[in-house]
Amino acid sequence: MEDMGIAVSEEIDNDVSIIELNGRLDAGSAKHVLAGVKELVKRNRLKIILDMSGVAFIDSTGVGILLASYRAVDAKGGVMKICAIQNQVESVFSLTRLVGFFEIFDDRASAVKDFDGFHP
Amino acid sequence: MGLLVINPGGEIVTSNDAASQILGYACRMFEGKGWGDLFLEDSRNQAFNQVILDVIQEKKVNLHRRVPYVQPGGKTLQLSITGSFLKENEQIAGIVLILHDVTEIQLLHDREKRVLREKHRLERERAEGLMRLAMAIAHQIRNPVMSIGGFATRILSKIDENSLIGAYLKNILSDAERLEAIVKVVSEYTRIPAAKPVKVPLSDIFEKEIARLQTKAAELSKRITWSLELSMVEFSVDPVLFRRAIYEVLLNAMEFLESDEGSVEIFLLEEDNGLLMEIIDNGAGIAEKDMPYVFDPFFTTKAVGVGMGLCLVRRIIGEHGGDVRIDSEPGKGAKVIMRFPNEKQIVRG
Repeated sequence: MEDMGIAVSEEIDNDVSIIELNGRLDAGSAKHVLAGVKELVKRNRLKIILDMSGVAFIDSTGVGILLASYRAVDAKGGVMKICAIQNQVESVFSLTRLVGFFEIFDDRASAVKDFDGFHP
Repeated sequence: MGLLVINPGGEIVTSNDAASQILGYACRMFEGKGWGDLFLEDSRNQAFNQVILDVIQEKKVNLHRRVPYVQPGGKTLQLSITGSFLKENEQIAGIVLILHDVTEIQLLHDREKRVLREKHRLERERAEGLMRLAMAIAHQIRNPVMSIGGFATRILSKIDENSLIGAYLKNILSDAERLEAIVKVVSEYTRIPAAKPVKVPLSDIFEKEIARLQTKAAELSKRITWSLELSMVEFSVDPVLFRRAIYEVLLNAMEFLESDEGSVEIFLLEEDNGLLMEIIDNGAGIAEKDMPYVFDPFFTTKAVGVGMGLCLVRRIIGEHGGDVRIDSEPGKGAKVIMRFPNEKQIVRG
């Protein structure tokens, strides 16, 4: 699925679904992220990574949608991890204490590896 | 005034009672918590959350915004927030947020805006009513008056104009001409187009209008001292309408001089929201009993005159979204105060 700078690809090997975000995560694009995550959950894909290497700006709607996405996955017993956040977005995460809320990894490989042995 | 201080780890390390009260939390509830724990999940508070996100992402100092905030209990407030990103040796030192509850002020402001909008609506309705009346007059009176004048002239040409009937006919002709003058001014009023503002040089316009009136003053053997002071060089107005309006005001100032000498002072001042013009004369002024009617159509205290001048001025200024009023001390002069808003601030109910 590709829409508004958001691409969902699935890493079949380790059974992990990866949503790649590009551009601004704001009121215009955030709803597509939540729709993408909900679609995965519906198909029982409960190991999800949001790759945010292409996101340089996030607004309050974007943050709200990340939290809502996390809750949607968590409610079905799955886990959503975040990887490769850029400096500016990392400042938002640390200064609002979202770093403690999400599991955040430096890159996609380490996030995928962290799912080793996890069976939802 | 509410105060919140957030450390580089995102923890609220300082808060005061006012902050708790404004944000609807129990005292000291914030300390040790983060913004994400408290506010970010509430989709009703996106504008409120955006303030802190912008402070962080744009590293803003003194970012000031007025935003709505919904307390956990559901009450909505209007907050004025100032947020600053603090740095020390190029490292993040934290964030400071100052909060004011401006709900009451905002309500007052909204109420004032509603009243102003209502005032503009009523004025527009009145102007539209007047417009319909003026159009009817122009249309219904023009032809009969022309025919009365025309036939009177024809009869006059067939009889001895020094006879008694000739004198009657001359009276009929003179009154028909007077009615034609009224029809002409009223038609002019109905033809005022919507203002098309462009930037115009103010001193240039005033100097030209003063020169026009100076010629008229000389014809009437009046000696007038004109003075023009301005703190603004250019302003956006419809040049044709604007010139028409100031000509009328200056003409009035000139005509109401008590003797053959007098002064007219013009001040053009830049205001936050636009242009303020004051035209002050030292003439006869306006009697208190006449004051409520000076902008009414056909109101005049002059021996000769239709009484549409100030009515026209008000219409033109209204077309620009502005307003006009007059202060006067009878016997000492009058001050005409006109305000023209900047184009973007024009309220069109």
